[in-house]
Amino acid sequence: MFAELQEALQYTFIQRALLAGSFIALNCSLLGVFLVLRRFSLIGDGLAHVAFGAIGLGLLLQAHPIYVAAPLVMLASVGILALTEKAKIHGDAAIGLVSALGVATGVMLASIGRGFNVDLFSYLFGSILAISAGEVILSVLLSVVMLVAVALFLHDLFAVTFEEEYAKVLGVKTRRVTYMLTLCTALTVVLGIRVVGTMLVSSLIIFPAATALQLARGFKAALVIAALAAVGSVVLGIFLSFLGNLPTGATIVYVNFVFFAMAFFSARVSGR
Amino acid sequence: MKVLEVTDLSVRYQGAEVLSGVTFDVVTGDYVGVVGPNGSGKTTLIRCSLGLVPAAAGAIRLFGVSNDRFSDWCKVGYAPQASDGRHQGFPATVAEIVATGLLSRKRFPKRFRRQDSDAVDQALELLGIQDLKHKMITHLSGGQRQRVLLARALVVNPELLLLDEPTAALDPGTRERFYETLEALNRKARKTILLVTHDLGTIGRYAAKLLYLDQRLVFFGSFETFCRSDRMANYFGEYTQHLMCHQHSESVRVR
Repeated sequence: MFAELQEALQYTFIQRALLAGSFIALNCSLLGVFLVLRRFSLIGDGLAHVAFGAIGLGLLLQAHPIYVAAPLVMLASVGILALTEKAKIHGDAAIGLVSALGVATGVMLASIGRGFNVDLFSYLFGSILAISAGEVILSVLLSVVMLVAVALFLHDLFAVTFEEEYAKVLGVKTRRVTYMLTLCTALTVVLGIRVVGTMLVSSLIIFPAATALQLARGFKAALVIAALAAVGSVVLGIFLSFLGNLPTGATIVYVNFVFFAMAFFSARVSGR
Repeated sequence: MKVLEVTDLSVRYQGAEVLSGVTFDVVTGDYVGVVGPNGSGKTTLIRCSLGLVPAAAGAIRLFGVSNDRFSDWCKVGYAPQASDGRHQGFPATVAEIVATGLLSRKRFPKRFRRQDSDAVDQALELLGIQDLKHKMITHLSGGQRQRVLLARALVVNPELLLLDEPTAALDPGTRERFYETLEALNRKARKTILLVTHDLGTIGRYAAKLLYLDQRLVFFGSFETFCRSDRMANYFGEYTQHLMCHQHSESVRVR
């Protein structure tokens, strides 16, 4: 098996998948901790549905789907926040509205465009092993930018997540921090679609955070555990899918589930 | 110096007026007990002062600056009510939470340094909860959680303390020690304190001024004035007035 892993590492497509996948997973997991604690984690799922529609538009326009999806999904994320603020709709309902619109748009465009249905549906479950060199560079660059943003605003993000009202009294620009978190999530979701697809991208956001919350004995610890679980699941998932000739996205989700189950039981055993 | 100026303040909530025409000034070194029945607008007054609730009419100034333009938040320490369940499952240690109180004096990029860690230790010591430093907030009792929120309010060494029912979940011994700590902060360090409480009997022993709310301002002034006021005797009945004044005069004798 070791020899097979060594062999896998020789392939450029595996190297690319590992590099881009790890960075994207790292982003998803860090943002996921904040989103899960703010009970806003399904925004990942909602935005992924919007991305489905946006990718449809990209295919129809014969442009690169990710380039079309990124700005549209970021716009949708702002729309979700605006709905919660202005229309007095709770987050879950706002996500539901925007997500349904996204899927309806995708289906509508697929019907108009005929011909590209197969391409559109390939985005449903991801294709990290088919990632191009350009996409790897873009993914790593954007991931680094977002990681730097999270690092710079870490304490503000923590304060807003723990108690938004109190954060305001600390002079934290809570609205700005929330928009930053949501825009980063939108961009991460678009990048994550390459790894596990629109159907599964929210798992990259929710699973590592949920795993971390079982074990963490502090906030920094939660971020570290989520990051390790996320990167570990992508690396292990890619290798296992290569060895077993399994679909990569689904394998990554299964590895995440195993990590979560292990954390859940070890927390129960240690009485946390 | 005027630390908090409230002028003709009215606040509406879902169409109903919860505060109406409230006017009073708090100056440096004041220790004001904010008292009133349930739904009298005590918490709303504090939250509105901090800009967390919009005012329907009137003006609020903090340290001479309108509260919507106020930015010197390190001068203000705020402890909200410690409701159960709000922080359930949140993976943060007491030290991490208390340290957030320091963010009000940080500029971008906000980083914690060695002296910040010392400030956290001092705040925990002041509240007698050093042993909880590395405990998770989610594992604490209501009283412990309340003291953590108080430590968070005190950690930045603010000039004005706005405390919303800070003793509600404390046992009698801890409550007494907490009141003594506040008294020392008020007398020795000249901290200005506004403390919301239901504890009509006890507050007179510690606070120098009384602010009685019942959606409008019923009384604001010193306990001495309150005790001599026939209007207040008529409003509260002599028994309640006597109870509050007795506690206050006892404490004055002790001092």
